[in-house]
Amino acid sequence: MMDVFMFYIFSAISIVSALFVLFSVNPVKSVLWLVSVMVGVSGLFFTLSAPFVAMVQILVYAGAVVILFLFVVMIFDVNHEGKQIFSYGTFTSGLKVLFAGGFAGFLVFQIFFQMNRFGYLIPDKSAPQFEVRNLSKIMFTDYMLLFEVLGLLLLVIPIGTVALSRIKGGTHAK
Amino acid sequence: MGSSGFEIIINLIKMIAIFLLMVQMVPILVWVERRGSAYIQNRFGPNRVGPLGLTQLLADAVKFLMKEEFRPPKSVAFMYYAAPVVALIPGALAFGAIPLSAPFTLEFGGEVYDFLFQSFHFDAGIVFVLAISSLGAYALLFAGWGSGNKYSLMGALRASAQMISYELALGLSLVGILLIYGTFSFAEMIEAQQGPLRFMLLGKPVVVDFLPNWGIFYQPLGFILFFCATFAETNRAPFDLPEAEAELVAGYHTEYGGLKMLMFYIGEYGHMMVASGLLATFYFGGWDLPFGSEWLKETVGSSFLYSLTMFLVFFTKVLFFLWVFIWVRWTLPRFRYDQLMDLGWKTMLPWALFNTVLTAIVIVYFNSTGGAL
Repeated sequence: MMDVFMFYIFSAISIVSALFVLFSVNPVKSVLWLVSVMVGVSGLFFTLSAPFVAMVQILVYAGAVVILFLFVVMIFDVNHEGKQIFSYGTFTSGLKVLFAGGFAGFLVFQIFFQMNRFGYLIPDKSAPQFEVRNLSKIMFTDYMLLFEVLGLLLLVIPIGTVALSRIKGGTHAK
Repeated sequence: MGSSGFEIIINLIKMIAIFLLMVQMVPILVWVERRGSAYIQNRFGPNRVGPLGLTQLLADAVKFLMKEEFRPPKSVAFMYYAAPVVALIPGALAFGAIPLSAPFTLEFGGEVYDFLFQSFHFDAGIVFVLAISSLGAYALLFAGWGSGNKYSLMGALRASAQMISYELALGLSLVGILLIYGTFSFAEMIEAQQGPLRFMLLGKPVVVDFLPNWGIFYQPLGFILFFCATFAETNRAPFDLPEAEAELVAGYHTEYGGLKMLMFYIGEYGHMMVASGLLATFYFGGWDLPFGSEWLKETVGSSFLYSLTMFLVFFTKVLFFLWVFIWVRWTLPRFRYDQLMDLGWKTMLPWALFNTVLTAIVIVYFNSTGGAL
């Protein structure tokens, strides 16, 4: 009963905040609503009895990624560049709707496909307490390749950033 | 919360008491900071009001309450007023999750109840504290953006960049100690640090009787890195670039005064207390008393009294680190911004990575584990 109640509260927080992210004209406010989305999603992980994932969600997304977003958005000239980025041109709006729709369709398809395959997965409360040890065991044995590939992908990002900043100018231009 | 009324009441009292402990430490720390800085700089400091100037705190409190309430006309009202509150929350929440002493039992109405000496308990407590502390940057960003002031915004941007940079070094410097104890729980980590120094090396047990089994003996490099990174995370000198008064007036809190300013201070000292608590827990055995704790347990008898004594032990360690924070602030000059970034990314991050790899190699190839025998 309590779990269902919490689920609805956290889902409401995430969905309403996500709508505010979309409909805020001011990018700074938009990013701040994104923090609320992250906290809501973290709460959802809690109700699924995955406290570690919930905490990492806050640590990585709310604590680092969104702060970086905010950092970048605050450097913008919001009145000028911001308006250009968040423009309402016909063609770009059409593209945005197209991509967003495609992504949403993909997500819905995935959810239905997975549900048909596995059925509803409800966390087993009677199972032994969640342990990080088990999570890491799965990650470093069954999903070793995926884990390493993700690590490689993350390594490519900083290298790409450094390369771009060196070529394109800025304070570190060569 | 608990199954019976008694348990719920004790847990509520614990929560309120630990929060008040954190908040009430702030005036004392302000006094220590002012008198300590005066001592270090060969001045007198506030010594007029009451013995040793101690009642200066009360005068300050009255002053904070009586100050004029104002808001800059170009500020964003919600963010301007939210920032001091947001500054207070992470420190208070994180401090509540750190075990301050040994668990104790109380008897009431013929039943025995177990209590932990902390506001609330998480299995992955270490991750919780790190996650909540990382939200502290929002207070500075709120203040910087909400004030509608260029200096404030510059301070906030510096703060966010600095906190993200040093969070990496902070997290990585902890990996070594997590590998050694193999747990994310504070209680298990403190449990593993009790007794004399003992570990397995090449499959043989080694016991050193005259040293306690504390984390600093396994992770000296990790300790130094974590220690430096906490200074950056609490935004105190030599890492106080967000409020560098020579360049930015007062940085993110330029436009704040009175009680709102005080709340930023409570947040900062709260972060200091969390950092000191973490240093004591990870590297100095938490509430563990290295010698004579068995004797103490027998002499004191009651488990609640023993718990209170151990709390004093823990708090002595925390007070020592708080003094070190103040000491360093008034001794070292501030970094230049590029020096700060170089230190974070080019010195501390590689050393933290090296420490992680070295610890992993020692654990796997030398068949060695710390703590557990």
